[in-house]
Amino acid sequence: MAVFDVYIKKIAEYIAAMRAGGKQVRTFDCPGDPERLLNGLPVRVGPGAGSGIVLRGDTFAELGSPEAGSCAFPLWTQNVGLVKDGRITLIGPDILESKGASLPFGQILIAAGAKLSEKEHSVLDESQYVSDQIEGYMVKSTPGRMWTRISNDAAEKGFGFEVLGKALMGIYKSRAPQIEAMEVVFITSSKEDVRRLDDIAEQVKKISKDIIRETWLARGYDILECTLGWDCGSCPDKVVCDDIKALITVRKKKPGKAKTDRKTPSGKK
Amino acid sequence: MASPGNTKKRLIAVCGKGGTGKTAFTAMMTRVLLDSSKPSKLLLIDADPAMGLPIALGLKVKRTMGQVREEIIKTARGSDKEKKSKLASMLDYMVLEALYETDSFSILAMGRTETLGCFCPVNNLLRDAIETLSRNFDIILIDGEAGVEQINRQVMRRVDTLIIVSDATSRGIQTAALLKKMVQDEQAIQCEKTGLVFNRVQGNEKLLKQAAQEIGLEVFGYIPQDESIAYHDLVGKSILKLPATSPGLTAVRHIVTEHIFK
Repeated sequence: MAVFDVYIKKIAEYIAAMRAGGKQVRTFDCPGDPERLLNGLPVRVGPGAGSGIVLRGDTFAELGSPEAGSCAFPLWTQNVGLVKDGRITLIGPDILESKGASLPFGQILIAAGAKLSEKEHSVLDESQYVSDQIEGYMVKSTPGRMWTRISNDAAEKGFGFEVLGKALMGIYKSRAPQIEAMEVVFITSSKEDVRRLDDIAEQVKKISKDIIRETWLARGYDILECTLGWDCGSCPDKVVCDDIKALITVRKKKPGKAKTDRKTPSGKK
Repeated sequence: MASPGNTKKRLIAVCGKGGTGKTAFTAMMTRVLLDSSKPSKLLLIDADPAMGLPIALGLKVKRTMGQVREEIIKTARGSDKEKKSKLASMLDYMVLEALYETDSFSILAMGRTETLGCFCPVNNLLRDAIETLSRNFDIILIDGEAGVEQINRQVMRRVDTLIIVSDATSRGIQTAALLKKMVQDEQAIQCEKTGLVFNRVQGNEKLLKQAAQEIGLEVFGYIPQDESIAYHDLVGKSILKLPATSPGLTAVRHIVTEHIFK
């Protein structure tokens, strides 16, 4: 499947344009093996390693706050030749150079694997918001937006973009073994530089939405109608979601509301 | 002597009749907690829709939980199905957006809600989010409105200590009696300890103590009429900037050390 290939090429062009425009562009080339990526990191990585929230008083640097702006999306391809395995590209200042700063933030994760397919897309899409898996790294997200903080403790241990990139690649490769090569691009140079990615992000979002919906439809769920398609059996918010769904149902049944012809979660009318 | 810095997590709510000085009291408690030699992670929740606490602390809060609530209801009513399906995952982001953080404490203002109606599931959703957020703090101090039901409904299901603030009037004491009944008999909110604080007291402690005994409430303390507090209120100066020797602040310090963290 080559649906994202054009955007992977556009990201390469974007990096080249940034470099040509005199922006500070750095690259870190890391080993591709997931174990080697995660071994020796100065912070813990894995389920439960994060602390949920990093308060401002404990924050070394903040990335992508609503005021500073952010952009985040994953791309994937079956063409392994499009991706330089283990490469981290950073446009702008690194974390450890930004004590006390609130920087804009762009994060693009690019995965490649001959066996990658739409089935893995949801995993790739969800994994970018690894909110609780990296010690001292807080992630709060809305679709396409990512607001993160790095704690003073994590910074003291040497948490920079090389560490973050390795952790993300390690997590991704562990979750989707079909990934043969992976790159990460971070942008912190300016809000304008992050916003230059908006068009690509919008297109990627539309494609991503269609892939995820089609994948779940094939399993018998319409995720836009029924959030139970998202493995709610293990979701602590299931009761809340059920409440909200019940509320919406009650509202739709109120006298004076137009009746809508909508399908049940199982796909039956 | 116990101090805020070396104790377990504490949830404290302040309520009482309107106009008795709940917000000034909460602001003074904030100052006392911040002055502690071992400062803890402090979360203030302004549960009064009038949002007087940020003003008393000299802060300008831009976003409230009321606005988050509006956004959830608007999304639930709207036609953007993708946004609806992502609502649960967006909630933490929206709550963090509403959290006003300083270097030494954080404040969450509940604010007003425009949309009429109960929307219990939305309240439950937000209360869960607040309870999750509060796990990151050592001390949670809630400035409530007159009653306690709204704290239970929108903020927390339980607190450790409920402080009822009254002025030196029979109406203030009657309201305190009513609140005590709501908590103890009707269980409007779960709480381990309830106490009464008399505010703006002018030398009638003996009578006030007797009145408190009659309604069965322990007196946590008496805050004297303090011109410096009145002045700060008048000119809009932060209560956090009260002189350390302020008689009001001294009384609140005593209440905190002897009744909240003892």
